[in-house]
Amino acid sequence: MFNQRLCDNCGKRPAVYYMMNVINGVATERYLCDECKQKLGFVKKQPNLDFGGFFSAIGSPFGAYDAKEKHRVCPTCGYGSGEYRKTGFLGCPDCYEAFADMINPALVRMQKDTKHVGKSPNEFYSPEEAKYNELLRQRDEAVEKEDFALAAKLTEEMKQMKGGEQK
Amino acid sequence: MSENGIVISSRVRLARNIAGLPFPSKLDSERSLAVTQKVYGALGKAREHYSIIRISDMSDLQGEALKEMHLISDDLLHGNKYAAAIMNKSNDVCIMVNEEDHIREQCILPGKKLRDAYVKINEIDDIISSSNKIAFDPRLGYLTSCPTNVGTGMRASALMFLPGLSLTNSLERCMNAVSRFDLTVRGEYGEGTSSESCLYQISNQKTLGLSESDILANVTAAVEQIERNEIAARKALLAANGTALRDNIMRAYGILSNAYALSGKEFMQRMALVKLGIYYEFLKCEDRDALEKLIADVKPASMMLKAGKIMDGEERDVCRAEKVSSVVGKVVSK
Ligand SMILES: [Zn+2]
Ligand SMILES: [Zn+2]
Repeated sequence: MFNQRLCDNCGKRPAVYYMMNVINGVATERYLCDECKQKLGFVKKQPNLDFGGFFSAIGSPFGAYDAKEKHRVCPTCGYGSGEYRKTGFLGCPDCYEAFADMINPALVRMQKDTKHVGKSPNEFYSPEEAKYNELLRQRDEAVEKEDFALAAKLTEEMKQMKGGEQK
Repeated sequence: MSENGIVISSRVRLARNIAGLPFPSKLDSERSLAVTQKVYGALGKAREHYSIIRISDMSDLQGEALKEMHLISDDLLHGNKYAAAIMNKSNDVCIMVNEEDHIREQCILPGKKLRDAYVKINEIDDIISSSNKIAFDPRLGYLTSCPTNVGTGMRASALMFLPGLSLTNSLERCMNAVSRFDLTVRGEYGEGTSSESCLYQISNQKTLGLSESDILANVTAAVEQIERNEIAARKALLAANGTALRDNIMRAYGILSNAYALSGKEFMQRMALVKLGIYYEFLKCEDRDALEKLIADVKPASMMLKAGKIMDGEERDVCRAEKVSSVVGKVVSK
């Protein structure tokens, strides 16, 4: 009463892997054999390297490819935009800012949202750290509004704190 | 396990990274070690005792066995050299360090207990975040090495046993009906098993723009709807092929109780039928947890680890059949 399902990709070997994604109300099913599963990049043999094939098959979810696009590098960790494009992985938390123009449109597509709701770790910062972060946020806001006098005052306050608790 | 045996286990995983450090695939050995120490150090404040196993100190067999138990991933075994697994005594909490992200906290509980699993892992997350600065952006949430996890960094999943939907070929229709929840359904059969095990992992796809409780509510609602569909499918299956179905179930029971050698694949196939037989009350079972434990115990690495030796395929099949007939003989009856 069980009939062995064959692999969707090669149609020869028995499927040992099943995956279904429901995105925007459309379900797509895949039954794959072990070999095709690896070939299509569903298995990361060497971490971060095998995604290329998968994305070229389904179209990169990490942003449309633009041939004229300049290769950029994250100033914090030195990770390149090309590497992100190829693997879908980032080098460090600051890469989110460095490659924001590539990541944000991809997030809209993948997640249908760009704004986090839910838990944040802030409530677990020490009071000094929380205060420092708050000053930092106010200063960024001031700079954005071009209120440089306020920004300078906040920077001074932050400097004083740095002498104390701030790591 | 839930009363009808449909939801086998519930798991919640949170992905976290330490601020100011490259992600594990770009992290040098010194700082990788520091991450491990910081995470393990924080757990000194936890209520339970945690032990740490570095991947480099693990035998291949141990690593495989932990993978079979779904406690650690392939990536952890083969990625960063300084990866480690931190576990509590009951093994329901496992924290992977230096996998794809610096910290992957997960709790896995038997049965339909997503919310309990979240409460437990959230407490661990509070402890770890209280002594480590976590990479977080007010707009994007928790920053993860792959943007598919950004936001809550949370994956809530349920392992479901769905023989009714599989045998009536109605899985796809059922999943379309729950499509408003943005889910991923995976059937991962692994070595020695196959699609006939009828096991599927249901999890959330979206991690950004939904709160943790929204995600839990969505996955739970989907799981419950799938559960209702599975029950309906089991009814339909029985109505359509009662005699053949019961015959197949009783034969499967006969084989599991008497076989001298059993491959992993055959075992999973027959076991699915026996479990279905228990549901229909063609068979009686006094200890369903023992059956679930048996399924875990006869996977290749776990079996060899327990036996304390490497066995070839034939030896494993004989060893498996022996354990199976002993447990099935003890807890299942006509
Ligand atoms: Zn194939
Ligand atoms: Zn970076």
